[in-house]
Amino acid sequence: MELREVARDLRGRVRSAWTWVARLPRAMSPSDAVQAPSAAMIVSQSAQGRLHCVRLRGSGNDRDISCVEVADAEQAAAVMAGWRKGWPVILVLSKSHYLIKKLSAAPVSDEEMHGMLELEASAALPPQFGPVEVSYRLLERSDGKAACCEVYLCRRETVEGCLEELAAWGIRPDYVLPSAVVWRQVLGVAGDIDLLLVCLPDGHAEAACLDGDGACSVRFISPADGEGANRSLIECIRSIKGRNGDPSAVVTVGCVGGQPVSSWLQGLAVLRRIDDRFVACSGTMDGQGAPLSHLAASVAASKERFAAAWRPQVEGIAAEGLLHTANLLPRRLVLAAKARAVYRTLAVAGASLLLAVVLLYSALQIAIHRYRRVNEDLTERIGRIKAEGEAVGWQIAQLEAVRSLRASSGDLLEIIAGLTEGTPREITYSDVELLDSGDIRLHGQAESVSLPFLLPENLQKQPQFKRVVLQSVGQKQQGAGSATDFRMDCELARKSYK
Amino acid sequence: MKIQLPRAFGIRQVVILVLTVMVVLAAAAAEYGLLPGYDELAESRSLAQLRAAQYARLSGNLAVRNKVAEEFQRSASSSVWNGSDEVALSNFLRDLEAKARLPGLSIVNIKPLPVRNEKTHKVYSARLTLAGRLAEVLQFASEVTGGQGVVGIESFNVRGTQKLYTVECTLAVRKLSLIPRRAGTAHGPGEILAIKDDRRDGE
Repeated sequence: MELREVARDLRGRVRSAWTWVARLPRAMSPSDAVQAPSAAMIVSQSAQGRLHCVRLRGSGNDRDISCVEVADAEQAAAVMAGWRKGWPVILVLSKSHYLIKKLSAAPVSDEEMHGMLELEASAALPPQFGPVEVSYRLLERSDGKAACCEVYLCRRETVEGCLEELAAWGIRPDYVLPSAVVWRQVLGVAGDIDLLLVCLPDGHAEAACLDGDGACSVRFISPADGEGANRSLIECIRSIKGRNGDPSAVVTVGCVGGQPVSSWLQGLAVLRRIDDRFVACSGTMDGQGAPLSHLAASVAASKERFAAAWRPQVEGIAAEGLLHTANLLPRRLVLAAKARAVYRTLAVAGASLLLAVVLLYSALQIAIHRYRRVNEDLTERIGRIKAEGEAVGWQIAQLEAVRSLRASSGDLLEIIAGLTEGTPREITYSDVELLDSGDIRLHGQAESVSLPFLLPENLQKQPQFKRVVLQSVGQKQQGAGSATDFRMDCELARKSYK
Repeated sequence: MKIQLPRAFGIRQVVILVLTVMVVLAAAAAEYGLLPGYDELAESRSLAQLRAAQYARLSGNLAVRNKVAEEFQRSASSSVWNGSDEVALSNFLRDLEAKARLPGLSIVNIKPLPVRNEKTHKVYSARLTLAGRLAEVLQFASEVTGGQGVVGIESFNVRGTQKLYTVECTLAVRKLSLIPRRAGTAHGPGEILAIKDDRRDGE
């Protein structure tokens, strides 16, 4: 019975240990980090082959933000030189590089969700599209029902091309996020904005708005389209109005970015500045608004303003776990990064173990060496005094033996003297014996039975005797009368020899 | 050089493999490096403690050297004996016989006992039975134990006899002979004769 319980307990322990080991690679992976990184670099590529890097350090409102444009490998190296290893680099893909699809998935665990969405999204694509990287953002999930997801699809060759370009400059992103994830965060933070217009550093723009279910639709606007760009913008606004169901409703547009956006808005809306990050315009957006060219200058956002828009986004993205789920970094690279992290941890553990062993071994050797030195020193000192010291020790041992023997030399006289002193006249001894152990046996006769009973007290008073015990008293016939016979034991209290 | 792991090896397998290797290496390090080192340390430590105790004992001996020499000279130097056991026992018995030559005292029986060899001394014992008056027995005992040699009474038995005022006393008497310290006799080689007692022949 007990054995069965032990086996069950052991099985449970093995299972929990296996579960722990199974979770180990994921637990050791940096992509599971929910907390906002203390530093992050957001990289976006422009069509002119330039990079736009926003570096964030610190947390919350204390974030230190700097914005750098990188035009060549030398500048990239300078940017990365100040970037500590382990601080994440996030590449933001513009809308021109990826697709957004809204999909429902069966209620499965987070671990299985990615694979399921990947299968479903790939099936919906034409075969010539080629291999794709899939990531997602969970829009809605309720117990037992299908989960609604916003799925981001990007050709693998596109992502790898972007990564290769960056790698050529020595930049290796840890995460690749679609811009929709970021703009959705911006729209979420500035809750009263219906449409977000972002002017990218390369002069293109993206228009983002939230659908009713929380999905974010993004439209890529190219200035090269001229009137077409303006038309795209108006289409965005009309779609928002159509979704609201009120054609006369006021649409608030938040702008982040530079000159093109403001110029497109001229004549469409009334512009006003909301805060450092956004310039908002509101109006019916039907092309009838009065042109306010004097405000256009304030709309022209600087690079710093573009950077400032990022301030809360990284924390929000990290908190929602989107660095993990919305990451479009090729699976191969994610796994490689995980493996690197695991191997690094193992290497650190191995090195720590090795160091601990070396330290312990060194400590032992040092202690052994120290004791050896002490032993050598003592041996040398002992060697100097050994002969004389041992000779004195020899004499001391002999003196001890002499003392011990001399202590017994006067035993006979002492005992006879003690008995003579402590024994009444009416008592005689027929046998007095001293044993090797120091015990004394007395055998004697008394004139009356009562006398032997007084004897122990008398003898106890003598310094030679201790523990005096009367063993037996009896009468025996002696001639015509009788005599009292007694036996007594005691111990000799030996005086030490002086 | 890049190590190519088999395709079946995932991160989990590598973790398990590396952890196993680490455990094995740690066990080997403990078995062949740390535990022998610990044993050696314990041995060195106990040896140092022994040596320290030995040094303290020898230093203590040296500190009382003069006092011991003085006491030895006074009370034990006459007991040093370097001759054979037979001669020593014979001398002892002859001495007992000589001291028992009192008017009313007679030796009923005398029997030498085996010699007890100790590290620093020898003990010669004899059991003798005397018959006579108690006063003479006591005088004999007093003379035997009070002489120059180191003599003690191990045990005795005094019995009354039918004859008036006469007792029969059986005594176990011991005599101590001190062994002179010679090289190699006790605490290791290279030791020299420590006690130079020219009077040992006088015993």
